[in-house]
Amino acid sequence: MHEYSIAENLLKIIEKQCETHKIKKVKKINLKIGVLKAVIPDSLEFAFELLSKGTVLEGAKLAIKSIPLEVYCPKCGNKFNYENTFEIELCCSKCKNTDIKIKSGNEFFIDSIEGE
Amino acid sequence: MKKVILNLDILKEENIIAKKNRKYFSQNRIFVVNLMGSPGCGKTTLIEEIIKKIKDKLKIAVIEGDIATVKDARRISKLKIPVVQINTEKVGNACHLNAGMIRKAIESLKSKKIDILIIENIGNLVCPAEFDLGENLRIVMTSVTEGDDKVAKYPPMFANCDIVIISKIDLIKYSKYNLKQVEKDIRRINPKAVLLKITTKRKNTINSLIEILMREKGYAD
Repeated sequence: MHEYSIAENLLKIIEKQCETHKIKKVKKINLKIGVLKAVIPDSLEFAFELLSKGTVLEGAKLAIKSIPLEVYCPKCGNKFNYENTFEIELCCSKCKNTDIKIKSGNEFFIDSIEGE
Repeated sequence: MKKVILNLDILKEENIIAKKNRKYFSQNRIFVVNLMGSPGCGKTTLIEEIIKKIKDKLKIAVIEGDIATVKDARRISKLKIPVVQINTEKVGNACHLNAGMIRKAIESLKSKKIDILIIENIGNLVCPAEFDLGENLRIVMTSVTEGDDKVAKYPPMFANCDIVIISKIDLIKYSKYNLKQVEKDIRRINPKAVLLKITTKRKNTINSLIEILMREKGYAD
């Protein structure tokens, strides 16, 4: 359900950008969303469709690129990825250090918009 | 057709308001707790118990978040402390509080001197995880009656908090709840979180939490 708030924010930001960049009709919105954000694409598309009616964003396609969880261990230098966040174990896969740094997976970005 | 590279944070505006809230709280020396957890895990009851234990020493205020009704605010106001109810049924039945709602709520608390502000978020183990309110401490609560798989099933919520509370711990003896497995899941997902096990049946089980709150406000035991 937080997809509704995300769609609201998305609309607000892009409407402003369309004014700045003189875009009258948005065709495609490229998003980068990290797996840790637990965003369900279907729900986001549904909320976006509902909220964008009558705006310059109506009918635009949401292209959501999912960014995997990538972690770095400052102790042993090990870098590794998690495929599945349900099996997440926040410690180094080699030395088991728990003080690890998240490199990616927390992204929540509008990468670009396409339109005319 | 043209392409414009934006690279903008979707929650940028939310985060700006959260930052402003945090600045306001620090300028006014208010310590803010964001209490999250499933519906019925005992968040309001825990707040009532905290208030009873520390209201003689510190000034507490509460913001209650629910989709509908003022039931929780009524419960808290019986303890004679300032409380504001936020109902999200007016804003699309939102399943979480956001920084803007908190900013409005603190307007009506501005005349009061507050040491600790406890924000009870909407009962939900998913959405509140993403929204910074400007708090200092994030607590996530789960109760024994929900079953022992909740930490494993909702990792983002448990990964993004300072304290995890397991409540209704007295009911373990009546259920198949595997506490060891839950503790293991918490350690795996959030190794730095403080883990507390509480029940209102034994009032001293919330003492560690009280100590943490008092210590944050500079009170030595």
